[in-house]
Amino acid sequence: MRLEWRDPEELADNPANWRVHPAPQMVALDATIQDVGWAGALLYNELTGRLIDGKARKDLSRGKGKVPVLIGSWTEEQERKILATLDPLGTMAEVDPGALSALLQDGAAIEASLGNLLNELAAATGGMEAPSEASDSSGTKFRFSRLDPLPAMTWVLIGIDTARFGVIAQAVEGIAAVPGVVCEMGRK
Amino acid sequence: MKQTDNGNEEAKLTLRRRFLDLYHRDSPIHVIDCCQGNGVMWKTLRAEYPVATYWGLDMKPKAGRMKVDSARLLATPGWVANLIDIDTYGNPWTHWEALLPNVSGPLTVIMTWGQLAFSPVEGGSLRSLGIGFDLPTSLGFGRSLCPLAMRARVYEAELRGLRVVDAVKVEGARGITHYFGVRLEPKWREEQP
Repeated sequence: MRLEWRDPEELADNPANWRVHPAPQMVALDATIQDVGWAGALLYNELTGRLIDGKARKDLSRGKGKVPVLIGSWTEEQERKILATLDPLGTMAEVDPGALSALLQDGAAIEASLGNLLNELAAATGGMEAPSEASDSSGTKFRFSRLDPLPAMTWVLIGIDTARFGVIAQAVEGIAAVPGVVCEMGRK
Repeated sequence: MKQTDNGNEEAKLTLRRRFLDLYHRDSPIHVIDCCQGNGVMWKTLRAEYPVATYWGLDMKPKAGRMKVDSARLLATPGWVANLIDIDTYGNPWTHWEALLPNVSGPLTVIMTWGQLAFSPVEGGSLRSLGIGFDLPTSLGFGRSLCPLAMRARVYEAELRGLRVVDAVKVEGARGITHYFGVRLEPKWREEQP
């Protein structure tokens, strides 16, 4: 494999790509690249002429210059295996709480300088909790959750007799299942 | 009933220590404690951190303490502090609104907000959420709206020429009172070369 800088337009999408990149992920990814620059490379199969990993980064980088690409040669079958396993394998990693905690201790300074970025990420991902933890002298653990900016909101207040609630219950449950919807019910 | 909130001293201390450790290590600490109460919390913290000036205020008279309406004080330009503690019983938003126009440098604001499930959410918080009318208290929305309103109100600072550098809430405290802190910086500081 070799690393090259390529124009995003040269990198054909992979029709077998199963990953979907929602807007919040794109916003978070863009914010990260802008803040720390490139810290990884796209993956491209020169044998098939298709991108294996990095479609979101490619889309974000159109018209902004070249992107770092790891280029290799794999058969179609190998390419499909890589496509199928790349992200799932990554998510099988487990967290070493001690190492993460140590990183976040150093993160006092990081946290201060990247506060805005983390807020953007948190907002983009719908409210990420800062995984920082502190204990008091009695050993009780307290966590700190980050307060993120609210997205634009629309409120709908529905008034209906309790006896007739069954008529709309299913619709309300459906709406409540939509990410970002806060659904509260009260009785009078 | 005596209006105090002393059941979560350790949560409150942990929150204050976090901000003191993060933002007040390298410069003199100037504190305005708006609702001093019994003063125990800052007595503890002053023993741990080099607090240069501490101004404890409260509406309730007590020997050695100034009986001052701290919200009015914060509404007056010219106060000098880089940490303001608003440990209210009730909501801190009157103080918050009062201080925002007068922030002239980096500032930590520590706040306490107790919102009961069936108590009315005050109008300012409803408006911050875009709800332009009073909600019937019987709906019991208070506890649900509180965390949203907290976020909306904190980021009102961004509309006042300030940048919210950091904003966190303590999780794990007993009861339903919210303990949170905000680090602010004037945006004009970023524009300087």
